[in-house]
Amino acid sequence: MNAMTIPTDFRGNKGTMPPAILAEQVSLRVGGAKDILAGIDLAVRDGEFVAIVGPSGCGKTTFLNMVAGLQPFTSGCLTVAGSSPKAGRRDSAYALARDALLPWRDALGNVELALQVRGVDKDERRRKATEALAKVGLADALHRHPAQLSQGMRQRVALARTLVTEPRFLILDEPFAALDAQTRIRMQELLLSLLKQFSGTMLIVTHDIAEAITLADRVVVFGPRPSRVTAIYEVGLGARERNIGELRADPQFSRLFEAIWNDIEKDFEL
Amino acid sequence: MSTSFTNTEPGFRSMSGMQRRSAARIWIIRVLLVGLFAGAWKLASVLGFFNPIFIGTPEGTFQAFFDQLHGPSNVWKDIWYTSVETIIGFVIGSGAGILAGVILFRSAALREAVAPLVVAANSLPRVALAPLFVLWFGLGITGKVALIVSLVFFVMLTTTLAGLTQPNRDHEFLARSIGADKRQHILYFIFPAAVPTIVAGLELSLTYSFLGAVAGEIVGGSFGVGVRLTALANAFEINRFMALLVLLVIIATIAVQIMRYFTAGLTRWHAAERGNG
Repeated sequence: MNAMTIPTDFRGNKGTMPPAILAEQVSLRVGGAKDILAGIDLAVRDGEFVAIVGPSGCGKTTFLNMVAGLQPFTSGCLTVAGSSPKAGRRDSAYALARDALLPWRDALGNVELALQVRGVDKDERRRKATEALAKVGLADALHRHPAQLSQGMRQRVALARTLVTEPRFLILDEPFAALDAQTRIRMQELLLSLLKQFSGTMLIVTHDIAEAITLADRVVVFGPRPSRVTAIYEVGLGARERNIGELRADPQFSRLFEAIWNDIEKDFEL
Repeated sequence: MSTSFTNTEPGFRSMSGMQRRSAARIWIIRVLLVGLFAGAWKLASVLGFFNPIFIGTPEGTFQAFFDQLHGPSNVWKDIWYTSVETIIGFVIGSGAGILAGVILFRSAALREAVAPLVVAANSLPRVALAPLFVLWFGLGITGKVALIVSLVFFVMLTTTLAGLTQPNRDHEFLARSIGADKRQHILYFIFPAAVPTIVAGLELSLTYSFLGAVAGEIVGGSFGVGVRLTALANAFEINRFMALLVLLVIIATIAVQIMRYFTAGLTRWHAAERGNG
């Protein structure tokens, strides 16, 4: 673990803007068991898309939940837009691995939920939710309940629910993990196209290396538990202007994939 | 880059021809089972296994069923009494039970304090209270209502509490991440999730209410189905006894169906979840 390869400055100080997310030695110790996070250093620039990958059980979701203010940490310093993380920020949206749709609400009602909590009036939230569902290709399924939707459709409803509040921080926890390989790629494609009109910051946790390279500007590799950042890769494929087919055909894509794969693989042998 | 999807996914199932045929088959089986039961009943007395004085006869019951609907000794006044008791007891008992469930849900300390008392009270066979209620409230409606309330209150208290305290970690996370306050969390997440459990409790309570009314009348009353059943049994009017039981079953079934009709909209999503799960 002594050979830390961090190709770029971990603080990512490229512009003059303060980092959107700044973590310094964020740790989580639990009594009687192996520490979960041994000190995470990470800076995410405003407007940057960052993906976290790592072996399963390494604490990447735990770290994400900390950023979302859903989980406390034991030491270190973590700020989101300059202040300590807080659940329910009006400018952030969080998507779980499972869609977490409310089964008693139809698609429209589920997408409206966050707006309803914010006190947006009925006509306005109906209009926005309809628009958001149309964007994810579900204009004809507004009044279907989750039980009447396939996994892929449910995940699209969840995506619409996440984006409907026009967040500046997008925090995604393995958003497509429950989907089959083909649906997952189409969802990545959809997310990529939706992100073209998104100027905020995105932090995504995934175990799918291809997904990380596809969606992110930088890929951060977490080591095994107790976890720290072992490597950071600048993707630089211009994903925001291209489609998935092109991206995957790019030789740089496979080089990155292999490098990250080896990074994680190396940790498995420890 | 256009992203297009085809939405060819499962809807609420409509009845196909095959399902309609199997529904018809199920009804044929039901009718056959009732016929089989009546046949065995008749055979038992024809072959001398039982004395028809004690078990009556299918055709006598059939005749008595229609006789009881009109004529000088028709059952409607007793049915009316029992129904009024049932409805009043059901409304008071379930209302109070749901309210108590919500209060206990809101206060963990209170919940912990009364939990053993609820278990103890719930394990008491409530019908044993009937003679006491006769003593306190006399032979009228009040005693029966009290008995029903004592039955239904605890059913609704426990089902309401169970419905409200179903843990769902994903919904918890979602509620917190969208910044729902305590009131919104309860209103948008916890109450709707509890509805199917509470409705199932209400259905059970309706059956219990009938039970309480009839049992209360049997123990001591001036009117009602229970009083009439006691009188018929004492007079060895078994056919009329059976006929009244059949009518009671029909009325109770209709009552449950009416309630299902009104609550179906509240629980449709739940039925669909289970159907697909």
